[in-house]
Amino acid sequence: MREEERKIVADALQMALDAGVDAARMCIEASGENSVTILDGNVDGIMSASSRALYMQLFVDGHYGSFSTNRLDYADLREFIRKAAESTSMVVKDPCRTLPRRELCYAGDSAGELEQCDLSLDQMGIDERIRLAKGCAEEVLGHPKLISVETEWGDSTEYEYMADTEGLSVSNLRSVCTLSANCTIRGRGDEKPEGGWFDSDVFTGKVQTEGIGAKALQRTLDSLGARKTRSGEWPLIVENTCSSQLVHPLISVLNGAALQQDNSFLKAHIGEQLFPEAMNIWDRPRTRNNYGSRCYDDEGLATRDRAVIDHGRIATCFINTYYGNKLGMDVTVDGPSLLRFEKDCDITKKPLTLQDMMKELDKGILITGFNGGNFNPSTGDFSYGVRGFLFEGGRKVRPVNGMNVTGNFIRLWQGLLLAGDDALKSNRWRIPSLAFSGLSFSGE
Amino acid sequence: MTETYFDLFGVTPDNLERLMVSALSRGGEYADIFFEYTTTDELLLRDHVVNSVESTADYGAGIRVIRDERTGYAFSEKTDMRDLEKAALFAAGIADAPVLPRTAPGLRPVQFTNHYPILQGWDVFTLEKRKAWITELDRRLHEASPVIRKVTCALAFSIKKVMFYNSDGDFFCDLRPMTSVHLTCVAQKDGKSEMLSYSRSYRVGSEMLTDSLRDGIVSYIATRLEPLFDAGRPKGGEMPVVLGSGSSGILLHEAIGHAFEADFNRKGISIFAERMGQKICSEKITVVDDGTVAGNRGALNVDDEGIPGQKTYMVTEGVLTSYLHDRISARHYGVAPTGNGRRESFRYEPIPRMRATYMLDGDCTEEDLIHSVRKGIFVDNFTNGEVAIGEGDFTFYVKSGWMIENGRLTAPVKDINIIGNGPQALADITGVAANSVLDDSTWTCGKDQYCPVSCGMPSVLVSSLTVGGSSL
Repeated sequence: MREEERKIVADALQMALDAGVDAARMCIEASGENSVTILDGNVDGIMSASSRALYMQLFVDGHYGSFSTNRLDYADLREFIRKAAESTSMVVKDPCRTLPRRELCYAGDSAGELEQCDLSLDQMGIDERIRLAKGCAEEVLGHPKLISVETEWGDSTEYEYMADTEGLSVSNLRSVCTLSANCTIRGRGDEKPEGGWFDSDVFTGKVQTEGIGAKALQRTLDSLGARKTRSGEWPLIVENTCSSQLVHPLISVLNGAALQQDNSFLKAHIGEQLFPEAMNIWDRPRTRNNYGSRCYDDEGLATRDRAVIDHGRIATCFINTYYGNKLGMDVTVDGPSLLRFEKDCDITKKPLTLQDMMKELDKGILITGFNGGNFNPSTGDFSYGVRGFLFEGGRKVRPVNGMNVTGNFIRLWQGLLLAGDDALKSNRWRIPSLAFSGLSFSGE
Repeated sequence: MTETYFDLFGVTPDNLERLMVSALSRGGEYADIFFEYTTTDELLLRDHVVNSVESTADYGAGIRVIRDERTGYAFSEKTDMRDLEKAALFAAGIADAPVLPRTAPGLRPVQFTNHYPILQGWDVFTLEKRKAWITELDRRLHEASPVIRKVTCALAFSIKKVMFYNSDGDFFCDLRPMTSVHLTCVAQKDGKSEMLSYSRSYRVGSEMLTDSLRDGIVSYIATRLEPLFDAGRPKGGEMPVVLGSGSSGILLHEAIGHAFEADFNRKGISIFAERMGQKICSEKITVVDDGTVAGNRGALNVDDEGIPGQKTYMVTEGVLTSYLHDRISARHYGVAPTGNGRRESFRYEPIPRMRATYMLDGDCTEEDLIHSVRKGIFVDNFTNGEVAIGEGDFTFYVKSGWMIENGRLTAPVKDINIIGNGPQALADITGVAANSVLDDSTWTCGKDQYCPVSCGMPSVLVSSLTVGGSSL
């Protein structure tokens, strides 16, 4: 199967050259996925799918176009590429559009280096998938508060092969398996609080199969009776389940497109010590046995470990070849793979649990989930709906919901107080629970 | 047209009937086969020039089998009979019941009205003309608003060709166009930056790209962008909120629309699950979900289960009158499907989804509503929303609006989240203006799958919502 896909890419590159392009990059992605959904202990749905599509970037005499198709019959493909080359030649020339410099590209054995595929998935039958998802549901069925429990087992395997007309030839194989549970329970009046939990891993055998349903139910029960608390300035802790949401805005404005379009609240601060010394975020793209790891990016640029925020200093921008050419900046990669908050100089110098952090702060709001909201990439201003708990004396006092937290990302991170040691392996980015000084909460 | 679609997907009526027999071979009660071929073309302007083109082609077929509300689903990106048979047999596996010999029904065309005829094809509006239209838009934006530093603009058109057949014999072909323009302007003034986005999207052809559309975009940006530099955040907390007409329809989408989708109710997890036939808000309020608005982004000639497009009254004069159904939920509730069975593509099974959701006119003016508020906010420009179905808590993010002080609009506000509870917010609507407008932005709903929708509303006053803001 993989030889067939390599041949399609090689032949498509030749078709592109035949159609008059100067240079081209092609990437074929082939995936297979299976899922089983269990509703209240009974099979509700089964799904099986396999997909294959070819993605291509064409460079025609200084013109650029990007295309994709899943019609890989050669007659269709040749015609698609011919039309693609023709329309590419009709847009305005852009000299910054080039293939990446060869010496910056990856040239190794990605699949062997990262070991991020469970080859035994091929042998997994539907009965086993049903057993795992049903087992998860059985942990909670019969609970008097339970209205509904939906559990799901899902797994997928993805193969990709990328090549260009300058000699790039890289491939990768990865898989991910996920077991999840969502519970809905009886609340006040017509309210039906819901909550969930999940675990995922590259390898079937490493997915936690016990306790997922029970944890989903417990988190939902804990939220019973949630209501707003008074508006005001509150210290806050953001739980490890959702703390990545505070990192994403920083990363999104450090990429080449945001910088080149002047749509970045961090542009003026690159290289500056903007944040506290304890803020240390690294990209570790070559981490083995991890789904999000990668040896090369979408144009074949080799990844490597990088400090993104180095002890409070903005150390890395994500610059691909195009924006490197446009901005005159060094090319890095198109984005992070596996971000980790690293604590080599944490304020407290000791491992911290969520409970420790509540004790340290004594009083505040623990955010366990966001509900909507957004941020302004030009200014860094944000406003998000939140749910979680009010805590006092280092202990949860009662659940809260229906509140907004509003602020600015620069000031938020400048107020970083503590970082836990509890990053979840199932999250794509390994960001632990984080504590910040006061922010504006709107409630009663 | 039908013959062309058979050619496009490389199958015959006999093939469809053979596949249906396979799909029902394990005792399935219902099955359908959904073929799709979607092409999308997009031009991108950046730094004053159209310097990038993108095209995609997506092709395949999905086969669904239902037994006792359970669903088996599989799809294939190839439509030769060997691959389709394999998909049919996998989906058939959801059932495991005694099987009597079945024959597939003959093809019976579904009758429907075409709500999105293409008046001018894209072959007429050539790539050169498209480039010129966007480039002129960019020039006029810079001319009208000197604070603009950067403009990015995407002009996209797509054609989705669909062919469908089910175990009742229902058969249809549909051609679904979509033309969209989306732009983002970044501005700088006195060392500060701001950004503002704008979009329009319709199920039409290239007739969308008129001078008046371009004039409207330029006017909108010129009017809205610069005040953002002076805008701030209000003091946060509970307060009256006047929602301006048009895009405030996001309130309906998030606050009640999702909670009315019958899959959530069938599972008993919606906050409105036991409220059918009950009065849930003021009799001034009637809310519909409509697939029949000509050329609208949410329009559907036929849904993805073969049910003709229709207009569904969800709330009639304050009373909950209908959920939004697909075939599974309609059967569960013993009612007719409402034409809301939609899917992102052949890769997904259909589920209940909104189309164009809007509130009908009330009886006062927007000025009346603003004048009635001593201290609150007026909002009319939104970017995104979200809802927790069970609790009913919904949010939407306000890009811009105004403070209301003593019945007058005073200082501009921006970048605040508003949060409320669906049933409570509906009950708290105390005034509805007679100015209902459907908003034609590129609204895309992300409930498990992405589907184009639209929303609209007259201006309304909600007596209390929780508004994000400063604590000072």
